[in-house]
Amino acid sequence: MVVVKLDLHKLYVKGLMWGEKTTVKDGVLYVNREEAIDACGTFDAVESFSLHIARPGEKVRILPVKAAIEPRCKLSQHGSIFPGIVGKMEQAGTGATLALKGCAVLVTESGDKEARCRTGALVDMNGPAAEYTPFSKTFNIVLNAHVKPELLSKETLSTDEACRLASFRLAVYLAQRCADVNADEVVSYELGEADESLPGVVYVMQLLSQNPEIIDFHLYGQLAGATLIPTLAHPNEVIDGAVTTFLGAHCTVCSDKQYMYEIQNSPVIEEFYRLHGKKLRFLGVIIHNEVMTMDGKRRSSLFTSKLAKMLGADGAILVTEGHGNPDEDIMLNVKALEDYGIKTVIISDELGGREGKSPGLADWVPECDAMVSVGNTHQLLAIPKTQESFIGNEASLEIVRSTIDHDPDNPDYFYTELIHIPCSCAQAGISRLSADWI
Amino acid sequence: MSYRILHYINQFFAGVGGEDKADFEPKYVAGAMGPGVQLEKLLGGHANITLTCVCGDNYFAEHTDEVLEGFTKALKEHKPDLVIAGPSFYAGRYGFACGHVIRRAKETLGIPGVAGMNFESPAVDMFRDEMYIVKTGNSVRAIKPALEDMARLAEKLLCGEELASAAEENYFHRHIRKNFFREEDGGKRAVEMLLKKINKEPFVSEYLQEIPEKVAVAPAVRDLSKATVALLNTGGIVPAGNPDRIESSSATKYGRYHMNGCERLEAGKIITIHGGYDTSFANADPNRIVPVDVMRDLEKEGIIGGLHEYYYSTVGTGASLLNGEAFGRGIAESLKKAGVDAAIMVST
Repeated sequence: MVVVKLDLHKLYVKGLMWGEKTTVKDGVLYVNREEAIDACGTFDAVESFSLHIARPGEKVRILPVKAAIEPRCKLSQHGSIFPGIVGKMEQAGTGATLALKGCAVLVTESGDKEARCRTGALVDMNGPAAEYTPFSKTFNIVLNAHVKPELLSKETLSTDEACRLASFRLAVYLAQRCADVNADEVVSYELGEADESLPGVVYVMQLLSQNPEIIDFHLYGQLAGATLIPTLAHPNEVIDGAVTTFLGAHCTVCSDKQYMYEIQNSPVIEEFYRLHGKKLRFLGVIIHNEVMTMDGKRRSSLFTSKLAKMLGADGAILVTEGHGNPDEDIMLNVKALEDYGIKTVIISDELGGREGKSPGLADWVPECDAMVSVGNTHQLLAIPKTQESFIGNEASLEIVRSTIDHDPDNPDYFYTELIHIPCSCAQAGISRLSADWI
Repeated sequence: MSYRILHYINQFFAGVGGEDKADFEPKYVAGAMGPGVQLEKLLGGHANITLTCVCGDNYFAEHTDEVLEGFTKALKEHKPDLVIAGPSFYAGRYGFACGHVIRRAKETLGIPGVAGMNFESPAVDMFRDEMYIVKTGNSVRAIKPALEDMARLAEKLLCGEELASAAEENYFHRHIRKNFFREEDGGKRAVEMLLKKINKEPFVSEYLQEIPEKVAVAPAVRDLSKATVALLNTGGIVPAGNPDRIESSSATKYGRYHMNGCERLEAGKIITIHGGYDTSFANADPNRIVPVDVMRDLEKEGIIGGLHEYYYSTVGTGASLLNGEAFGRGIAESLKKAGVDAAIMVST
């Protein structure tokens, strides 16, 4: 009998170096550079890949960060990780998975000279910006895709697809090479029986879905954005990468995006699991697409709220991506769920303006009375103009640099908004940043 | 170095008398008096109340300009580093005077001020955005914690120490949001909040917003054939090179661009710098966002009176509502001045 139980084998990485053999030894991840690059494959849209190392505290800047993934692979025969992307088309969330904790694959590019992709996403491994992103605390294997500007002047999709596939291949490759190393810890994820009197809760992942030309998110390898009708997932499937995201061209501003790393390490799923059978019953995850039309939004909201009701939910936590029109999805969902008697809490950032004086969301309904704020994403931050080394595309600096009239006190610094720092105002709640009244 | 504080109190707290002495004329006394004596002790040697201004509540209300003029003079002569006023608890006239003197000190010397009021005081809503008003009880019985909070806040302001949130510092927030790191990550906090909400326990939402104002649909244009029509967009359509450096997201400005009588916007010369939609179609033909081509046809066919010679652009993605409202007002004003009758707003 198939059981939806996932054993997550955690191997803690506390150092990162190049080596002859890719493996973890005494907590240090060694990477065979050539073999790792080969694992990424070749693509028409990419001239070549280069691989770099960025450790916490180093004077390194990486920009634009298109993807951040925790290296993981399957240890068991059955089950699948990143199904339909790099994993086979089998049930995700069962069997055993190896996770290299404390490290991440970051993907950037160089060659988009006109910054056609319009994505920022700046990671500094030290200094003021480092305070705000989880990726300054991870040991990073940075894949730099040397992309073709002549191709990008025509279209951005094939470049995105190449970077996206390469990033998942690299993440799986790194873990696979460490499969023979004993894990430091094994955590089991299984929704065991829980007392019916405990409140049932669902996790609603609202994900951007703009149009088929933009890679918003995939479900078991299918570009789900524009065509999905909200559906149900087991939390283990989410942990195992059934939902994959990538910060493609024109997708959204980076801090408004749920990076893959954030989804793999969703703090709400962790917490729901921790309290399952004790204070609540974790019923499941609803995947909700934030589409572009009003009727589409209404349709998605009808299905999301109905699914929650049919599951017998008493409460729901909703996380989102993007802002502006997606705020309408939040409010439609909150209203529909509360109308069913399902209590809601939303997690959202605020678009409060640089002075913090603007309303944070584009819309609001009276039913929305519980929000966790993950920060004002417009708040300015002065960061050094340069770091000792730079990985990626300097043309993207134009996007992250705030065009304001006055210089900060220190001429060696420029201002950026937190919105350009990945997971600073973390939409799935992975960070501790929050806005408050002053 | 010890910082200098000017303290404002009314006749009652100065020991002059109650309501019967509310006409007491302003008087400046060196050093601390009344609640100022206790305040000074609480300031722990970092600051001294070097001047106290006493004024009757009625006198201030009836001679506001005159009192403030004298106060300005005292500020210039005395050069304090900070003004403390009150606490005035729920008193109406006294609270009003406290707000006014702190406002004046800020205008005159650019120095901060600390007041102390009860939420029922009408002066709270009038002045909270401009100054720090510590939350107090509703009467003089609550003076001890009020003075403690005011002294702590004053000390922090003088020493340039970073303030915690309004809730933690116990003052009426100034309608400004600022980022802080909380103890737990957002996910954990959300689960805790949800369980409290389900179990009907009290919880505090980290943010609440007023329901945004809905914009009414404008009446139809009576005679389109005589109307000058303008084209606006949030799709980031700008001349190549983006001369106004409009941001690809969270725009802080909009641009106004002349069409130079063109029949259509030319690809390559006109581009989009928007960061939130697939721009390949817009770049291939910017008329898809700013439909100059179609509008010229309508102009020739006499369906519209004419096309306004400028188009207006900004980027909608990630923008703050406040900026959006300001752009709207700015654009509407210049369109009105230019005699434009109608506008087509293309959003992306």
